[in-house]
Amino acid sequence: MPLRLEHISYAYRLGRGTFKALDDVCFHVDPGERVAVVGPNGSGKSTLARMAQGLLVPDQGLVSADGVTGTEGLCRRVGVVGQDPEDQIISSSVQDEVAFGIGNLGVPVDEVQRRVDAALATMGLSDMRRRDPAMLSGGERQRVVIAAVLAMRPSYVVLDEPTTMLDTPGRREVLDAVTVLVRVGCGVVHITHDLDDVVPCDRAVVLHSGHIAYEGEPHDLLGDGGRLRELGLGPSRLLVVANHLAAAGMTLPADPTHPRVLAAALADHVRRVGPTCR
Amino acid sequence: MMPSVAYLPGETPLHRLDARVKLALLAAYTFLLFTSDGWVGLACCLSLALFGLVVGKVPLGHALRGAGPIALLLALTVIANALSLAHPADGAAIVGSLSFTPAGMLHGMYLAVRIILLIVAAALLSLTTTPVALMDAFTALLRPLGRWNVPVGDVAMMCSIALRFIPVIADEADRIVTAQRARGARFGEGGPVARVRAWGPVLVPLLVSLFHRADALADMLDGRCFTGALRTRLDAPRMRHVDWAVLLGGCTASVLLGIYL
Ligand SMILES: Nc1ncnc2c1ncn2[C@@H]1O[C@H](COP(=O)(O)OP(=O)(O)OP(=O)(O)O)[C@@H](O)[C@H]1O
Ligand SMILES: [Mg+2]
Repeated sequence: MPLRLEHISYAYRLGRGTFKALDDVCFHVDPGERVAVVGPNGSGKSTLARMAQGLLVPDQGLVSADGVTGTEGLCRRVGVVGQDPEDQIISSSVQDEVAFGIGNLGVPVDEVQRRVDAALATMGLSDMRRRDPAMLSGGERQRVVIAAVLAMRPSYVVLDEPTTMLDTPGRREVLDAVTVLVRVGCGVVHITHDLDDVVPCDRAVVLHSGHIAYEGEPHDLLGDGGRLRELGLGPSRLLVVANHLAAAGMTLPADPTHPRVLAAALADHVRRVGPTCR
Repeated sequence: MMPSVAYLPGETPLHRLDARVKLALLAAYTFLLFTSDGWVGLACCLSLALFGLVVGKVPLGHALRGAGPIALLLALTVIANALSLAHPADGAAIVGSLSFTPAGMLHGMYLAVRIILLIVAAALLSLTTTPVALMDAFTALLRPLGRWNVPVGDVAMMCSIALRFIPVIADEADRIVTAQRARGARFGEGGPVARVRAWGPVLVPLLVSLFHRADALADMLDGRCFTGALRTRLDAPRMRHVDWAVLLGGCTASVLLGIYL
């Protein structure tokens, strides 16, 4: 049974007025599935994340995870990793931070320790357990946050732009951690600004001013420059490279934005033309 | 690590002593200070304070910094005690019925030294203990209050979050100041009004960013099912044998000295 948002509408109350942030949004993630959610600023992505954890109650529609509704049930099943690790770490040691969420679930201490050890090992943080998170790099801190979420054994994890505040190595680290989350069976929603993050996902969803403007194969989206522009998203880096290659005279396959396809086409080209350099 | 004006990083036995023990020792020392009268008791307290300074490798100047703001008060204590209106036998008349008494001055000095010693002892605690450890120690001591529905968990959480966010907020303020400077804002120039005004463009974005952080933090706490109960700690400080020994030894000594001196 998936994490399911059914016909969700939500408006923020602003003084006397309201601002419609989500408009009849239907969305689901299965366990073990990796879904990318992209959209321009203010399109409602973070609202969707809050909604998935039950922290906002929809004006219309229903949110359920494995058939369970309500804030408490949703918080136990859905973990959220935010943008800035600075706002999500409150402890002075890594393992205390990872223990925080499970401790709140009323789990006995030795079980807490066991789960913390497992989550730290999964995120490759075992030898940092006694470090002060404030002394770690951005990527390491974000991994601490992911471990803290993972230790609560959620079925679904929503990551809201988890790499925005990080440098390139930190980004890499966190993306690898997301892959690990999928591998251990979590349904993952990766909210992102970066179209490159969409490539490894099973499905892509585009939010645009509060409604779903696209849902489907990541590569159909990434290869459609016109569509991307229409949705307020820049061309993907792969599309830019593919276009340059085409302009340079290379014949490209129909689906050049899949990295594997593009690489195969390049290899094929080199084989045919020969490894000559001008 | 918490950048703090109060903490002197170090690896001395005093730094390593459990913060709860240090807190208890401070209480015991205060007891001793105010129950022992006479110069022998004071000398005893003085040597204990000096012993603490040596063990913790804390420079005397550092420990006395806290006494600065009340130096005037201490001076007044001495002067007020030295003056008398009642023509005591050892008094030297100054004007009218006002006279100076050496015994009174000595008593004033006695009171002043007692307060200075208390300040030094408190400084010893805060200079050798990280704010986080200190917070934990307070929480541990407040824990029994939970039985009378005092929200110890909430209070502890609030204080430790406040502590943790001080450097974050300081960084943020720094960033905004730098950004405003780059746009030509001037800080610390002109009259007092101009100086205060210059901070307006800093405080507003700082507050906005703090509200955003508070929102994100609240989401995080709700998302992790925080209910205000005391948290499970894996790295909670554990009392070693030394800690117990120092605690017992220190408290017994203070009580005995307090009674016999
Ligand atoms: N607490 C709030 N009160 C009022 N309006 C809000 C609130 N939070 C968000 N909004 C508005 O709702 C809309 C959607 O916000 P949301 O944060 O979900 O967007 P987003 O897609 O996450 O944007 P970004 O890419 O900037 O993170 C925005 O126009 C925003 O101004
Ligand atoms: Mg957002």
